[in-house]
Parts: sequence; structure tokens; C-alpha cells
Amino acid sequence: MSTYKTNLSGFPIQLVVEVASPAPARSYVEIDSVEIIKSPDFSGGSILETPIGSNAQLQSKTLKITTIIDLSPLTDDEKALALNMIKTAYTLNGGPDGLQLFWLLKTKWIQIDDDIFINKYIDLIP
Amino acid sequence: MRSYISYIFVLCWAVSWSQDGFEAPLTNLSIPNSPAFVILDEAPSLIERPGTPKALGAELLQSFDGGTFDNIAVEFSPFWLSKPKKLTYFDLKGLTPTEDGKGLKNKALNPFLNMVVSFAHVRNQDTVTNISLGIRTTLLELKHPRDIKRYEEGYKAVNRLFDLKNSIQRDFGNEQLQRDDPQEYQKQFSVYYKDRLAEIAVEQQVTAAAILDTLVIKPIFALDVAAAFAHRFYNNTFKGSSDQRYGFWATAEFALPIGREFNNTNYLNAYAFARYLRDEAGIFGFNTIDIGVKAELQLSKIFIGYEYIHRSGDITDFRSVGNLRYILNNKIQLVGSFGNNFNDFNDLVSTLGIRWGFDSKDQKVNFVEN
Repeated sequence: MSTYKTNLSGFPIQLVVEVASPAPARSYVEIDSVEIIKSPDFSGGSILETPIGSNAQLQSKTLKITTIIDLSPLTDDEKALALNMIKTAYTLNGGPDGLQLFWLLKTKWIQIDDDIFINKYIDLIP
Repeated sequence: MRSYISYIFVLCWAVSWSQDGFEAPLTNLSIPNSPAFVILDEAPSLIERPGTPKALGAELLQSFDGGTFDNIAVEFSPFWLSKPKKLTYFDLKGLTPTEDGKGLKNKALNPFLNMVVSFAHVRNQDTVTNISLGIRTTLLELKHPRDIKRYEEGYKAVNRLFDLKNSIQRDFGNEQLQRDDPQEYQKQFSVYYKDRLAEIAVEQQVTAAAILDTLVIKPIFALDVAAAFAHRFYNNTFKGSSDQRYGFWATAEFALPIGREFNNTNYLNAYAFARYLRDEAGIFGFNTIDIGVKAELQLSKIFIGYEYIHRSGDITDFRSVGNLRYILNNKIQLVGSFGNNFNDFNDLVSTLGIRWGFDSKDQKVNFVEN
């Protein structure tokens, strides 16, 4: 269970999503099941540092980051290596504990044929 | 008979190697022409440039005048045998997002990405054995703005498909189940997702075609540089008389698409080639500058070309060779050439060869959850 501490200030919390993948990828960010951001068309799934709300607004809510990767444009041989080359990392900053880095265990990735779903939940706790 | 036995041995070795030794591979885009052959003027074509190299390649050449695969080159791409840290889909294409993130543009290539190092063994006369080492990379690739637009459209189609897949996952819901019991969530979601694949399939066909078609778009201009060193041994003796040859060269390619279809794979390729060569063969040593051109018709998997190289400096000579290349599959190419090589004797080029490309072993990335 990943958590990130927040306070009651109006200070913004910044999110960075970093995706390294030789296959096309796209990321989506939700707060309590409401989509607030998706990665730009040509970012390869990454999202540059973006404010997602103030500490007070986000307190006690759940941040979900979904990254979907499509291996279908790759050859069978490329797919095998791509699985080991794909990396995702999430950084939150602006809370009382400052910058914190999050990852998701690869065993929790969901692969359905050529599609990989990486769903990361982070509880924004008081 | 010895020739045939050797041939069968080499073939079996290569096939078994490809099946057993590289079982979790990365396939790149092409099987290159070895610089270690080019320095010795033994390559079927001296003027050629491949795309992104394979992790490991082997090239076997058979001259029609005897011997059995006396000419062997092995080459590897250090980039793919290393552990690429942050490789994106765009990196592979030599593209990068524009500053506003709304499009793509040409990107300076990382010379390490396309670098190949090759070793060759060439026995071009009964008593002369050459061992050579070569290195080559691509410095520059320029894609036509119209082709970049096509690439963007293909990638946007992939993004639309991602949006659809994400909406299917949102429709499925069950987030609490995912957090409490990820395995059970995966089981249920997989069933739900596959049930809705038909919905995706309509768009997926268009998307897959769009993105795959962009893979074959060649740059309109590319520039490769290479250098190689060869050591020549006489009479099969290590300590006996020997000498060396070295050189460096540049190859530029202009690719003119034949037709502007989205999935065009036919091109008229024009090449320019310049090489400095120094040979230290005793009193027969020389310094030369080779300037060459080549025209090549690429009809999907068949390449038909003709190259002419003029040699000047201490020696005035020329090479005039016709080339044929056929891409059998993404691991094997058949190559052949016929014509006049440099030198006044032993100058017949009549070569049939096979190029194998192998892929790198998989590389582990350790993930730790925080």
C-alpha cells in the first residue's frame, strides 16, 4: 500500500510520471476515480511535472495512475526484450514529506495478450 | 567434398546458435554490411548502409572461384548488448517530440545506438589470410516532413486506441478488488477485457496497420561513417611476413520513395561514398582516395544495384560491380555480386553470401515497489 502524506495547506502537489518503453504507451491520472490528466500525444506515456491539486484538496483521496502499453507494433522478438526494458516511476512532491518516488512491482502488472496495464494506487493520507 | 561438409557444419552451427543461444532476443531492423569486409574490398557491395543494426550478425561469403566460406564476418551492436536505460519508441525512429508536445521532429541520432563493431576473417588467396576489425555508425538521418506527419497520424491512432482500452478498464471498475486481491482482479478483468475485444478489434486493425506502416518509412537522407583495420598474414604463419591496411569512409544515402502510398516499401536509392585507404604491403603499399556512387532499386525485399568506385592517389583503378540482395526473412538475407574489383589480377567479383542477424539476450530490470 503506497501512501503520500498531505497537510491542510494550499500548497500544490506535483506529479511526475516517467515511462520508458520501446513500445507505445499512454498514461492516465485519476483522483477518486475522476480522470484529471492524460499523457500528451507524443510523450510516450510520460507526464512532466504537473500540479494535481493542493494539499488540502487532495487530502484523504486516492491517486490512481494507469499506464497502458501496447506491444503489438513490435515483432515477437522485440516484445520479449521490451517486457524487461519497460520502466515506470511516479514522483510526488509538495507534501510535508517532500519528494517521494513510487514504483509498482512488475508482478502486479496485468498483461492481456499485447496489452499491459500498470495501475498504481497512492493514498494521499493526512 | 570437404567444402560441402564445411558448409553444412557452418549452417548447422548458425541455426543452432540462433535457436539456443539467443532465446530471449531483441530484434532490430536490419542485418548490416560488415565494415570489416568493406576495408578488404571483399563485401558484395562496398556502398551500402543498413538501418538500425541487429544485436549480433554474421556474414558468410562464398566466392565462386573456390573455397568454402573462407570469408566470415561477425559483428555486434554494443548498444543492444549493453543495457539500454531509457529507450523510447521515438528513439528507435530518430524522432523526438516538438517543444509544444504537439508533434514530432527529427532528432540527432545517438551514434552509440546504431554503432556496429565487426571482425572478419578473409582468405582471398591460398596463402594470404586477413583478419580485420571495423566499426561503423550512423551520424545523421533526416525524415521528410510529410513522412513525419504520417508517423504522427499513426501514433495518434494508437493513442485513440489507448483511450478506448482505458475506458474499458474504467467500465470494469472493481478498483477495491484490484487493491485487495490483484490476482483475482486480473483474472476477472482479463475475461471482461477479452469479451470486449471485438469492440476494440475494429479500430485496432486500422491502428495496427497505421503504426506498422510507419516502421518502413526510410529517411530521405542518411550519413554513415566507418573505420576499419586489417592485418594480413602470409603463408599461414603468425610470425612470418605480415602487413596491414586501414581506412575510414563515409556513405551518404538519398532514398526516393516510388509512390507516396502509406505502406510504400519501394525506393530508388542513390548513394555517395568516399574513403581514405592506406595499405602497407611493403613496396606495394599505397595511399588512395576512393570516390564512388551507387544506384539501387529497392522493390520491397529485393534490392538491385550497381556501384562504381574510382580509386585515385598512388594507384588509379576502379571497381564496377552489380549487386543483388534479397531479404528472406528478418534474420536472413541472401546477397550476391558480380563485376570487376580493384587490382589488375584476381579482380573478378563473383560472390554469393548469406547474412544472419541474431538478437540480443533479454535484460533484467529489477523493480521494487515503494
